[in-house]
Amino acid sequence: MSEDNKKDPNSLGENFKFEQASSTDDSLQELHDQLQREKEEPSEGFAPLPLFMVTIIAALCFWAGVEITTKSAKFRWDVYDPNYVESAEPAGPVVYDPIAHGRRVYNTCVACHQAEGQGVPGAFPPLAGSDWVGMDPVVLSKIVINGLAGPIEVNGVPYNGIMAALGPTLDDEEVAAVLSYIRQSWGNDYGIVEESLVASVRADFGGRAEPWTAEELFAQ
Amino acid sequence: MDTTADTELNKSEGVTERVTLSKIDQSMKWAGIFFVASSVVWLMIGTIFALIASIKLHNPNFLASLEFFTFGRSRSAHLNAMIFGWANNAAFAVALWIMARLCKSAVRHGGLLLIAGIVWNIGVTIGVFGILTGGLTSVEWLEMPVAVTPILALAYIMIGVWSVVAFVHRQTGHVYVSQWYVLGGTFWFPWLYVIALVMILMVPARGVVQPITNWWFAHNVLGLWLTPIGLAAAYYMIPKVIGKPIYSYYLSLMGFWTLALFYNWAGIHHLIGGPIPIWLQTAGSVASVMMTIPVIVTGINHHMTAVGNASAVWRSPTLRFVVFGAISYTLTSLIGSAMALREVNEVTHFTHFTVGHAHHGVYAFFTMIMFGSIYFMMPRLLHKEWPSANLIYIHFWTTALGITGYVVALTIGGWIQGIQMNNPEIAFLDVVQNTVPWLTARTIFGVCITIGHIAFFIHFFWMLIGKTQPLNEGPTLLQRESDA
Amino acid sequence: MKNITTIFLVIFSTLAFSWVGLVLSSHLNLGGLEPTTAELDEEGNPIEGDTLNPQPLSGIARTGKDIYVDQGCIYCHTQQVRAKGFGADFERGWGDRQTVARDYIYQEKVLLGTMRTGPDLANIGARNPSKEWHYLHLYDPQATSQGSIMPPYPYLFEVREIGDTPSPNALQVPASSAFAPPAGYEVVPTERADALVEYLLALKIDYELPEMKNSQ
Repeated sequence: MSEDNKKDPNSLGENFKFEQASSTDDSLQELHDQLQREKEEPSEGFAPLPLFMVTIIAALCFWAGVEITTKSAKFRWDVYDPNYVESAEPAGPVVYDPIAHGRRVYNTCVACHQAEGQGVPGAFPPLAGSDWVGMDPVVLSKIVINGLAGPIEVNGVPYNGIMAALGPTLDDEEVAAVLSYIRQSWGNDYGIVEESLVASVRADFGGRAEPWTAEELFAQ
Repeated sequence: MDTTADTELNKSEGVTERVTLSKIDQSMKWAGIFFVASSVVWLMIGTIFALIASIKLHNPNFLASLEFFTFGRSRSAHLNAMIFGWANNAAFAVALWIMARLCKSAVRHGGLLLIAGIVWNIGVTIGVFGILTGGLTSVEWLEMPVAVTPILALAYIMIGVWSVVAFVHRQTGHVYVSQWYVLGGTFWFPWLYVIALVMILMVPARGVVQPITNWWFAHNVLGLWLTPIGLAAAYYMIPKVIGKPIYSYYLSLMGFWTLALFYNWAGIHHLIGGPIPIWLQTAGSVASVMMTIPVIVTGINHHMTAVGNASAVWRSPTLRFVVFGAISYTLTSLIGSAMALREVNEVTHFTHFTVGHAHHGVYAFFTMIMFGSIYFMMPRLLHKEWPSANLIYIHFWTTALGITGYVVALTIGGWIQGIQMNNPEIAFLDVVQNTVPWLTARTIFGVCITIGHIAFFIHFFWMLIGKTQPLNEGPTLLQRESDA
Repeated sequence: MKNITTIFLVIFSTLAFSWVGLVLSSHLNLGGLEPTTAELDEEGNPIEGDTLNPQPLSGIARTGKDIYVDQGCIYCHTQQVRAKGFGADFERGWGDRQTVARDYIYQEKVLLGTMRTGPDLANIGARNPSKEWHYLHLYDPQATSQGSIMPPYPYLFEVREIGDTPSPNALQVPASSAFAPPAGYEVVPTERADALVEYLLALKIDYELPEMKNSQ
């Protein structure tokens, strides 16, 4: 019952002359030993398929049939939703909670200003506890829509970077939502920003190509 | 179950068979040695890149200024060295040897096979070097620069054709299950490879047809090439070493048919939730779940053959590795089927869970079976025994424990990562940070596996170059019979 | 199965079946998609005068894509957004809607990806349009995102002595960075970094298609 059932090396006698002609007597002896302890080449028994396996297969086939008929949208090439229904009415307009919506829009800002609004020292200014966040919403809307460049000071710490214009990316409703979210998060407590205010800022300054500088913002 | 009695009865038949086998072993000798030696060298190269990539994932500044070793390239060099270098070379050696033995047909003109093998390895070398020096294609499992792919395709066909030749010239009436699998793998792989190359890299198809082709190809490399060869080797080694017929021909037949039918469609589960029509996603998901049929059937067949022979399994280096691999096959496949369910995929997709699963399949299943097969094959090709049982011990325990820890770490870590990533309340950077302990654990288990590979590397070349030892002391086993 | 014909028939037909079903049929049905407008007219044709989407990449962005490819960014970043309700892609702001087949028709190489060791980038150009941030993040990811495990790409930048005046495109590397330049030196992006950032900024899913509207 092991690999090394040894046989008497001489029991096969003459049969081994059929081995390779090149083999010396010694190597022949060794070869003989190694091959002899090997078991027969594999063969197969004929046990039947167990009954429980038949049951499993039947159950799987049934499940597969249900899955394919219900989740394939009639094999259409332009449907991506497993629960697609042909006659579904388009969903009505959704009412936003500006803070919750702002939280999602804030994903646009999080890379620089960070998850807790803490910013990156030396590179990107904070929003949490920042003296800028409480400023006039018109100024804030201008910054978000057109961007901001050049030297600024936040809570007494100087920064000199560029904030990209987000006007092309965010619509008025999103700008209002994200500003409201920022003004009410991480210890900030200022009023929410109305969509109409953002819309009027965009109407006045939306065509501007250059980012604002601090000087320009405070000169007005 | 004493085969001694059988051998006594059919002495003359048994002797003729052994003489034939000896001739076949001789005919494969140089090609076999070449393939195994290259595979062992690639295993070491792949391991080094694996460690570099793994360390970079929790220590991103490690080797950061060297573009050659940047994560995307190291990781791809690791994958390609392992799949095309280690796995394919080992598969060529084992599959061709098993095929020749089962067909009772010696390899004729073995020199040509050797040349094809050299061409293959030159191709892989250029390919891996190309990845590291800027030729990375970023197409998963087809990372090598397009220019070397025709060399690989050609070399593959030159190698694969030997299994067909052996089959056509077979001297046996019965066709054993391992032969179906080797033939299947031999045909499926070049077909998949050439179509994927043409449709993705040479004449790129438009839009998402590329990823669809990519995952049809990439998953089938596992399912229709490595899996058949791994199963062929397990189907050969288990009954061979135990000396008992495989449990059931009907189960073998069913396993092969259902694998061929379902595995083909399963790869699309890599695109669940992606920009492809829902019916394709459902088809991939259903096919993956249906894969439980061949997996359970094959599992029963292997288990019923090995059951009652625990001590033989434990004593034989070959069976220890092969049975570990066969059990892993059942486990990893069942986990894989579960991962293809939409509800589970929503969590595991895009996480380290998938990476753990991939290693569970390619390492714990395929690689372990190849280790076992090499332990059986090399003594017959070289007419030497493995010089050291201790090195086999080290190899087995480090790799078995290492891969188990690796898979467990990434499975848990990946699941947590998936759950947290689907919770928008948790900042993305926190999700990333929470994976770091698991990624560090992965490196530690990777070091453990590396130790095993070094032991195997030393052992293999020691056996290859070392002096011939007397054979009649018997094979190198892991336990004396009296201890069993 | 003893007959070689039977075995080959199984081997051949199973693979041919999946190839026809998955690959060829996708190619026939999705390979002909064209850019279109967000709404269609009554006959189902694009409305004349409206913008056609998606649009092809600019020349520099294409060069940037080659760098994205040869650095292997795809192994940690996907470029696909899953539907709202399936994962948190929508809530994380990775896109306003699920990406669909038509979004990828102009990509000579489609980089969907399968790993999110880092966040999805399908819409990164709209989500984070700050060039400055991208440069700094590529140079030293931990300078912008503390705790990130992304590899730094210092070799896409040049550290050089400051001339008479600092270069206008020099990076503002925080002093705490592991790759901060020594005093008197500045970090400027190479052409490769310029191209890569151009590509990242061009990744936008900011339009609707007839088959997929923005999620609410």
